[in-house]
Amino acid sequence: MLQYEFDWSFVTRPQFLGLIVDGTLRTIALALLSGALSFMLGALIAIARLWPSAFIRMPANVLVEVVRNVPALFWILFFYFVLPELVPAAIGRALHEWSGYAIAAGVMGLAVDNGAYLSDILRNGMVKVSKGQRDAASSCGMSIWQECLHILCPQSLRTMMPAVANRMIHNFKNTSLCVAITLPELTWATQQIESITFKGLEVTLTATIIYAVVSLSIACGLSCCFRTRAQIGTRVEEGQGDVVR
Amino acid sequence: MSFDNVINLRLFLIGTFPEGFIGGLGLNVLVALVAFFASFLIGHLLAMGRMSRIVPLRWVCTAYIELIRSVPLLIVLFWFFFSIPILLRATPSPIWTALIALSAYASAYQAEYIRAGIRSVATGEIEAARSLGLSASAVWLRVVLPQAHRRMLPTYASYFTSLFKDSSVLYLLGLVDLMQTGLIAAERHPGQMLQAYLTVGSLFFIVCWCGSRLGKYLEWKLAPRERHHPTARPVVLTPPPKPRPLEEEQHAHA
Repeated sequence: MLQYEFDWSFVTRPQFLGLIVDGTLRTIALALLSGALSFMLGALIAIARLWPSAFIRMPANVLVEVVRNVPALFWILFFYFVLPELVPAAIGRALHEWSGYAIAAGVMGLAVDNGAYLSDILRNGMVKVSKGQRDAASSCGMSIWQECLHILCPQSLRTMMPAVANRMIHNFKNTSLCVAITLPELTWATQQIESITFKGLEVTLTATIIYAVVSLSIACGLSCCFRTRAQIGTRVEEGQGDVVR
Repeated sequence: MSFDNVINLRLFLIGTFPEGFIGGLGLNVLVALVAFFASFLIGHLLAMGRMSRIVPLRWVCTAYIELIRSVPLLIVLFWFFFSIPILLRATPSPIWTALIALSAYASAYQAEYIRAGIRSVATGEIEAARSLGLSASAVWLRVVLPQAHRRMLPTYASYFTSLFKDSSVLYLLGLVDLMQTGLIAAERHPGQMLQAYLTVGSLFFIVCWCGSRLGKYLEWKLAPRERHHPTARPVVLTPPPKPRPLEEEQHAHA
């Protein structure tokens, strides 16, 4: 038999419980902030990728291609370590001294990575709105912005929602990568408690339950809202099948 | 901007290979390849378990797939990192832990792709195969799986790319992968941090770009003929027509 006794006593110690609760809240905050930022980025890039002028379309396409083919972890580390070196020295020094820079770098890294994927989903959703609708919009004299805002977004949002939700769940899971820049989120708290108590398995199981509960409840909540099954059961195609999470 | 101090390309590509275990980009590719093929096999079992008529088996497979898919890769890595020493009463080298954990993680995703492929095969095909008197294994091996895999090839290619990108997490377990070599180079030459990161980023980009191109190519190759060629004119939004100046109109009337 296995000779391992589970010891959950760390959960009752306020010091460790505090670490876990803080970590969970910070993870959720990180996911929300980067999710919101990535949605805005994604929408802007999606519109840029549909712009009539190739001078706007091409850089946006290249940007998405570059971001999507490099791991999210790379972007988080890049924003944390390299960005302060690239900006003028005075700003860089200020960033180094700013205690919240880890969070800012984490949010930027996650948002850039997620935004590139979202732009693909949003763009494909807009393209799938029938050509007649777009022609009608431009023949009414609507500008491109009006067309996007009043015709394309409302019609495509419904069909895109499962894919967007999927991406947001993915983004929530990606927040664990921020442990690389010692951002005190849930995975970091797990490591900290493990290094003090050596109860690695129990702490990891606790974190598993928290991550699973949050991401499954995002999935269930969104699938109730949109009556489409976001993650449970069905594989959701993102865009036209070339992007799969 | 000079690259000469940092660019010890050998370190980035294979780590300290002849002396130690393979590292750098080679490690990422190796781990991703092994985990991909292992998870492809385990994924078949999980997908069939999830579609099986035996209820407990279906529940176990569904629970496993959904649990893994709702938890970050790092947490899955920690599971194996902490539980393997207890289960085996020996501590394997981190590379084995990484391979096992990454295969277990990827098999949940692969199972879903395989299941989606199997479900996309028309039931008429299966009924036709059965009515011809093919055995159950022949129905699976000759009718269902070939069509399912053919249809899911682009997905497999893009999942490999995704798995390769996920393998960058392994440096947090202490493996000297591409990300870690970049950090080492940046630490040794603080003045050339940007170059070290650029090298790491572009090496990741090159491999992933090839993977995603392959996926796009397969998708185009397997798509029904009426679909557009990838180099066809891109879809763009059309701006509204400019109103014609008044004089021109008068001129046209005259």
